Amino acid sequence: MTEERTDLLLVGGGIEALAAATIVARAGRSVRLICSEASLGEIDASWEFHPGYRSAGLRCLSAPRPAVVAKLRLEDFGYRSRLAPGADGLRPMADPLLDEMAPIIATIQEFADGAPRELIDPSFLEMLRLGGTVRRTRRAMGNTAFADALRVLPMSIEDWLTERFDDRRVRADLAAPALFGGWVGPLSPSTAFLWLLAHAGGSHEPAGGGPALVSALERAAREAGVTIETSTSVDGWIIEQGRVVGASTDGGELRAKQLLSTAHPSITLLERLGAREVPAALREDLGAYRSRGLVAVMHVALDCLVEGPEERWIGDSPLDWERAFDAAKHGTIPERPCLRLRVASADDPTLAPEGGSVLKLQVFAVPVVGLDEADQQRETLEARVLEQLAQVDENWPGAVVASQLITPTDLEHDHHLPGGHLEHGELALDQIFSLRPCVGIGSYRTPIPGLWIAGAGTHPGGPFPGSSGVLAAGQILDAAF
Amino acid sequence: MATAYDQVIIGGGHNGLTCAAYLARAGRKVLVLEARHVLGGAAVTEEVFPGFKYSVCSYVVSLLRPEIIRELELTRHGLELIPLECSFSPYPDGSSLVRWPDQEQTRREIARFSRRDAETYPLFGDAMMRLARFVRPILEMSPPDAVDPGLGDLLDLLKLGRSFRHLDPVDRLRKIQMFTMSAVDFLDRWFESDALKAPMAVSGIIGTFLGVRSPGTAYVLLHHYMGEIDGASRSWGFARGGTGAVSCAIADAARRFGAEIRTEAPVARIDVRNGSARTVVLEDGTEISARQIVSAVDPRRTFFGMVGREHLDPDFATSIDRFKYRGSSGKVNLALDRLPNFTSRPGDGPHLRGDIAIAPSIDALELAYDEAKYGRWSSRPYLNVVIPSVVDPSIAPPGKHVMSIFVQYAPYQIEGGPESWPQHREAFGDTVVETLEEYCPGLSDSILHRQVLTPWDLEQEFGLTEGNIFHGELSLEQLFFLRPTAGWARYKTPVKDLWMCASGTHPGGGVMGAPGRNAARALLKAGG
Repeated sequence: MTEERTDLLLVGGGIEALAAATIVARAGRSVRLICSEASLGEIDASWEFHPGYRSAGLRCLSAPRPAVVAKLRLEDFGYRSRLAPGADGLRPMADPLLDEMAPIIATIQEFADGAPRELIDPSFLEMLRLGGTVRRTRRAMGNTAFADALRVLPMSIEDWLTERFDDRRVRADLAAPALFGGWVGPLSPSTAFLWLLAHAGGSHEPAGGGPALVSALERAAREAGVTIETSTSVDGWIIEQGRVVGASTDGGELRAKQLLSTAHPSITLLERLGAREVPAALREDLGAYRSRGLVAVMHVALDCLVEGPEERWIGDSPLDWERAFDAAKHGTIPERPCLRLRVASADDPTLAPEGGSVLKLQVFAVPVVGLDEADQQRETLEARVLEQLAQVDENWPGAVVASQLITPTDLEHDHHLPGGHLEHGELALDQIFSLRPCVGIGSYRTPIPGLWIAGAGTHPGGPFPGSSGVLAAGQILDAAF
Repeated sequence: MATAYDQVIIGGGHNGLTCAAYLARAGRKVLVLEARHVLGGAAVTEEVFPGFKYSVCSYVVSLLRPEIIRELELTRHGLELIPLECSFSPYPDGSSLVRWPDQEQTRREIARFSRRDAETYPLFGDAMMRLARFVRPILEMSPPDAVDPGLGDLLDLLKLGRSFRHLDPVDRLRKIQMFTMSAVDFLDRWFESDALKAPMAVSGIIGTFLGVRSPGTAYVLLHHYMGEIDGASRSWGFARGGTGAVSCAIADAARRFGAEIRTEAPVARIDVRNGSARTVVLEDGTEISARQIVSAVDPRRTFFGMVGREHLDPDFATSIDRFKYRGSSGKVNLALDRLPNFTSRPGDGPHLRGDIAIAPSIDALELAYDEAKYGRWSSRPYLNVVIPSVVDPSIAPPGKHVMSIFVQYAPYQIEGGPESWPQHREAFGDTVVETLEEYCPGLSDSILHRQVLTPWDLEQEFGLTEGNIFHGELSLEQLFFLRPTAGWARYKTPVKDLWMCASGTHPGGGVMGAPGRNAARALLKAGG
């Protein structure tokens, strides 16, 4: 066995894993990356869901932060970004809000670009730095605007938008991006903050979406010398003398000096470790980590060509979105699900055959149900989504060739996402930055020597693809080798 | 210009009276003007039906600052607080939970639902007390100026930062969680039993238009523990003679210090001349001048009802427009010819001497909120019931009782508009009685008189804008240096010589008296 010589074993095949693997391998370390699926990308991968029709990944990703693109030299590997289509009519209305809040968004980005900063028990130096951040933000905004921003952050997005817009339809469309990371409706307090967080990802997205970003990252990783093994499932971590020394897989034991897992935090720290290995306080904190998925994703193959607009929000008023959340909160699916509709084949025409189209729908709001109810739920939901689509274009239902609906229940069971949350856990004020996933492991280091954690369930999470991988790799290189 | 008074205070609620008492105590010549025939504002006792004295609005004395009781010698002025003995929660399945002052007794009660929770409950209490201790000094301070902080503000913030650092890191995290998490998420970290969590979670939503699962509601859980640390025989209690007795005691204190108090003297407007507010005009046309005017009515009525938009800077006016009220609760007061008989604990007993929470489950509470969001009152609302006549026979004829029911949710903005509330008043009252009847059958038959107050009534009768019992929602964005608006959270207003002293300012509502006291101190410090 030569595994002992592997410096870093990376478990996970998604964006964060590939980013981390690339950085560590480029530093001259031997890196082996394993994932259970046959191809890379996890939920951001593309697959053929019907002969001739391919999906576009489950998430709608922002472009990676400029520092991440530069650090990984992504553009050398074919990565391009483009202005996210957005809903055209909205930009003139959203822009003034974004301009007003630009220094707050810049501060969120500053936090996201750096390693997690200790907020609960800051050193004197960190307190000075935090003070500096506040001062800079305040100076950039002006005193009155800064004070007003402090008022806005804990508010609900609907309350904030109501101060500016009378038109319910406009408010609904503007508010929607705030609702795809948390467990919230537009009337929930703190959604104004989630809205800013969503916009901190920036106005750009990867051209070709998640799958294109995954392929660029794969090329970067391979060029850096990362050994990639797909179709390898992990049963658990190997622990010797209190230290993680590798993973046991269906292909045998794989050993390494350090192990980085990008799975959901509860999988990394609870499922794959014995209860004795994890300190009780951490187990309790992880048990309380909230990860309730609300978003289902449906890909629809159409045998007609769909032209713009490329993105649309379907939900007539903020109260429609709120009603959808209410239904999910009480364990049922909404009568009229709200939708984020993307014409995926407009961005990447190779997804559909000539003359056909692929729609990607993120469906709000769908609760996790027991496995015995999953099929029934999927069936009912699918019918309701198609009814909603018929409202957009009456010709679409007749043009449906095939569809594939993945509910949070499916995410939980088929995609290793406990709770069924696309972002490995809810975005909330107490689950971001160094508090993600919980205090004590906010800097990618776990209490178990040899075991590191990254992924959307760690700082800075899903709104900033690639960031957690790059930052975790930096920590590992600094501390472990 | 000769002025008759040093300060004229608009509104004879408990905060206006408290402010007056402190100003008079400092030797100022003070006049309080109350619109109604009776003092107390929403902290009032009224004999609505002969022999039955209702605490019409505020029904328990929560958080009344012990320093006010002490400094104004309220006990000498007749204030007698009777502590609430317990919290009783009956459930639809016939079970019930009573939380007693005695820890061991409470442990046994909770253990019937969850052994684990029974062990955790005292630990939770300890943690909350530590956090409440951190919050207490904040109640007594003038919030810093967030817009244009001076050296003093920075020092205040530094002090806060230091006391935050004195908490241990686990408590610091909890503190942050309390400001960001929902009451339910926060309680989920401690407890497993719905029967325990539901009645605890409701303290997070009283007076706000939020649900128990809304982020940020965990913070208000602390208020419940605030009273305990003051040691003043638990500040959660009844005032003998009803909540109005608190106002009367404060009024007596104020009069003893020389304050003059007039009832049935409604103020029509505040006259702003040369940018300064020194005259109030009563509805009968009487003009009264003073060196300063102090308003104990809520910000909207103060600035738009009495001052007038034309005297305000447009940005300031916008910020007052944005201050949210949206009352979410109503009140039903019953005169009963006998005690209610709860299925889960039949007959008379100590469980009736505290407060009774109809909060059957977290989901039921959340559902009640969901209905209200769309402009309906909850079909099965959360009820907080007290029967003060059990411990204070002076408020009802012999053998009869007074039952006070706080009801949430009853949204001010109801379908058909708030002015349609009077048409629904009795139907709303029926919902409340039917809800309670499910837990104590026969209640309806024992009702002699019923008084129903909708949010509309609270506004029309008691001057509470949109029926908000706290003069503005107690949500995170409307607290501390943001109450009522950033830059003007220190009781002073942008209108020269006009001050604020009631619940629309820091630290907000509840029969606390803190805004009145803080405002008086700030005004005196400013040379008033």
